[in-house]
Amino acid sequence: MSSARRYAPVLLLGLPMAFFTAFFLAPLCVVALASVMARDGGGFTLANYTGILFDGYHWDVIATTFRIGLGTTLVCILLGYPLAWYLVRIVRWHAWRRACVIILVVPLFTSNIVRSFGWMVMLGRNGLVNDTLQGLGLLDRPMRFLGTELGILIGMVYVLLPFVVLAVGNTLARVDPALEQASSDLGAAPWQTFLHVTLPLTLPGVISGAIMVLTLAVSAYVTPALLSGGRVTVLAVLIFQQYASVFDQYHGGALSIVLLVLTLILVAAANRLGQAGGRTA
Amino acid sequence: MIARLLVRLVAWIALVYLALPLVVILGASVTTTSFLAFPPQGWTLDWYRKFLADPSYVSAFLTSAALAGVATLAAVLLSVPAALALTRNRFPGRDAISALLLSPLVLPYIVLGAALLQFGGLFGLTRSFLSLAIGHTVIVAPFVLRSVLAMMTPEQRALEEASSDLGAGPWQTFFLVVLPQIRPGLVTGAILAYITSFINVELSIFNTTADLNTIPVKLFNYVQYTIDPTIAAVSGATIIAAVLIIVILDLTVGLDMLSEKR
Amino acid sequence: MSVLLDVQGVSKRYGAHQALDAVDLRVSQGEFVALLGPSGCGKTSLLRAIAGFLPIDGGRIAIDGEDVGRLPAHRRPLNTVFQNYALFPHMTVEENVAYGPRRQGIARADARRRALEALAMVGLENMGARYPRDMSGGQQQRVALARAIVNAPKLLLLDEPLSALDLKLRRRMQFELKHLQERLGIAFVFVTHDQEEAMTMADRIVVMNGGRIEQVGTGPQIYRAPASRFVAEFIGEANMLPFVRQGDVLRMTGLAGLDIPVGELPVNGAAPMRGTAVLRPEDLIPMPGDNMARAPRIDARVTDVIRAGSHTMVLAQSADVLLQARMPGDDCGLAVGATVTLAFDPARLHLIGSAS
Repeated sequence: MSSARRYAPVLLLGLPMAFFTAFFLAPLCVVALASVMARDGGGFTLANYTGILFDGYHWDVIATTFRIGLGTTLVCILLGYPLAWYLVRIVRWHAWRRACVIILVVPLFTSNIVRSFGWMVMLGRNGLVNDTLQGLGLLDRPMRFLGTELGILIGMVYVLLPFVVLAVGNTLARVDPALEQASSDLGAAPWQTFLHVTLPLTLPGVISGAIMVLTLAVSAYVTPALLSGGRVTVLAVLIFQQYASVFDQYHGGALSIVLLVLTLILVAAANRLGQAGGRTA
Repeated sequence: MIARLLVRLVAWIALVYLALPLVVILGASVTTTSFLAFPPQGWTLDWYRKFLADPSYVSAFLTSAALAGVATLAAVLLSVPAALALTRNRFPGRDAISALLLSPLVLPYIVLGAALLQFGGLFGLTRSFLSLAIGHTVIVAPFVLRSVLAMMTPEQRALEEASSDLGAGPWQTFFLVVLPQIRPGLVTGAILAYITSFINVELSIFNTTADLNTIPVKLFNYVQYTIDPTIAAVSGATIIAAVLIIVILDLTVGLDMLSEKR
Repeated sequence: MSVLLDVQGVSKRYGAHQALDAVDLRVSQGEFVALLGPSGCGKTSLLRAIAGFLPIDGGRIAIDGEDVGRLPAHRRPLNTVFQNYALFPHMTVEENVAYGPRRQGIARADARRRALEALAMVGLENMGARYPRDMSGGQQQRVALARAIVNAPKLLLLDEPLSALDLKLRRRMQFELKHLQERLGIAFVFVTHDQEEAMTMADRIVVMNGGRIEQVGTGPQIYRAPASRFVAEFIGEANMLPFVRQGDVLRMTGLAGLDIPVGELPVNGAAPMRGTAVLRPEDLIPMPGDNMARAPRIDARVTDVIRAGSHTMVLAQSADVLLQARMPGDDCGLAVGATVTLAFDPARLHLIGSAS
């Protein structure tokens, strides 16, 4: 019986691991291999990477990608923390909170395309946003949103905001109320309690949520593709082009590996910070 | 309290921001004009009828539905045994394997799609339902795994041990004790998996053809060339479907998330 | 002694449940008061109402003559020691203790000095740099205490602070707390469900039940003269003996009609018409000697003998009632099933009228 016990994990994991090795690890290895091979069949080379890392255009793309990613993350936090606070601490009526959660989650259940499409409609020359801004007297002529980084940012924040709200909300709901009461009891005014107790306690959860959003923003394809109008290029779009139109799997491979490595770094950072947060409260 | 007022204000702005595009799409989908207009001029369901009668949309919908079903099923068959193995005993490399099986959750889908295309190309495994299913399974399996892992608590394992102690064999224990316990996580994970597969674009675009298309990819291609109320109608339909699913989930499972246990 | 805390007619209702029902309480400067009762009796609600965490429906709470009802928690001149200590996990012990002074605007160096003084008072002067998670339960409890007293409050509220500690540690902390309280001269309002703890530490005990105060008195007072059936049964063990008064005789209806002349009772003429007499187990003597020749006696059959080391409990069934007798020592010489005669001095009976 005990020897069967020892083998049980191997048996149970056999199929999943085989599947993942074959269809997850192996394809990534193939990509990694392609990234270090020469286009003309000349064998091992780092030319694909040097072509990226020492090239101005590619750095622009990477910079754009990160600029949009960081901006998205920042706006998500600025909008998301208050909304999470509102839902967790201010809303008293269960039905309304549930309704808000529904509003929050419904977009997640629709495709990126649908979500981006909504903004394609609203951000157009004659779209709702321009009409409203002109109506309010804030603009004289319609402003161009589509095909700008701002437009992409607006669409990306829309896609990723629910993640931040849920992450911050969960962290907030888990803060021990006794700690905030203790702070009050010791004479701290409500803003002091927030600054010295609530904020520090929620910060690790917020940061790891933010890094997750940054990761998703940096690797996003659909929203930038639809809202860029071809004028703005991010890394994921460039990768897709390599495979779908240019058919350069070597260059595409190198780009893919670069994006993959960046993602892994961000994920590792999130894990480190998430653990530090896990030890508190 | 000024702070509370400010928080309320920002919260409301965020809520409007979240709801607005969906409202706009639904509104634009019923316009009588042949171009997108919001607020809509007139009211008609013609655009809905148009795409429902269009065989390419119907076939794309069926493909999406079948694909999601197959991927979810495969995900369950792979993830449940994995979850069992990962929580039962300690063995070297357990954390690494767990991280590996969960990693598609955080890795760029576009890279996974490209990798599968390249890999599949070596074996002729591209542009087929099978290649689509394989790719989708890889990305949705972690949802099931994560949800089921969350159900594998020490209390649950104690129940397994009690079952063994009372003389039940491993299969009996699994079907009579483990399965009912993990069912909530399994169902949640399966629903997330199904939806993720259904709405996925980044993996599907590498493997679809004119005949083998999914709804999201069809929309994606269409929307880059023309925007007309048909797209609004298709999008509107997905929004309605999403709302229905969530309301049903809320009524059955209860979505009282974010409430404090004060 | 002047009145520090004045609670008048405080009430709180949650839907159908009356958590506090017109509670009146006065605590003097420097007094140690225990709020004692079973779970749900309202003792914690009362504490939280005083601290400012529970808004009340009616009544008045005044500290040092000033009505604190309008004051939010962070402005009330008192401090609280929480049940699970509520130490800030992201701050060191010293930062925890210095938190109160710092929020009042005291400079860092001064706050630090005060914190170290408070820590020295609880014997933790070298632990300032540690984090709460690296400390034992007893140490954490003392940090919570230091954090509360560093502000030199006149009133300290303690919410079952010792309940998470094991028995020996608890006993030790009870003494330490009592000594600290005497040294500092702070009034303590201490919530507990452990009657021994209350008896050991408090100057006065407030027994609560169902949102109401049943009795307030010193330990000996409530033990010897419980005001109600609830108090009699909650504090210590008791033999509850129903009676009716017939003229100048008390008929013990539960003891096969044993009659006791009213004159032999401590209340003399003022015995109620019907009610329950409380007889503590140590006052019920099995196998009485000659010195109790004229004491009322009951015959019973021994059902259980429980030897608890320092004393022995004998449970015996008389005609209608199960009696408990407590004998000193380990060896009572009684076996289960044996018939035993039990006697008691009527002067040790305490009568509770039927209304309660």
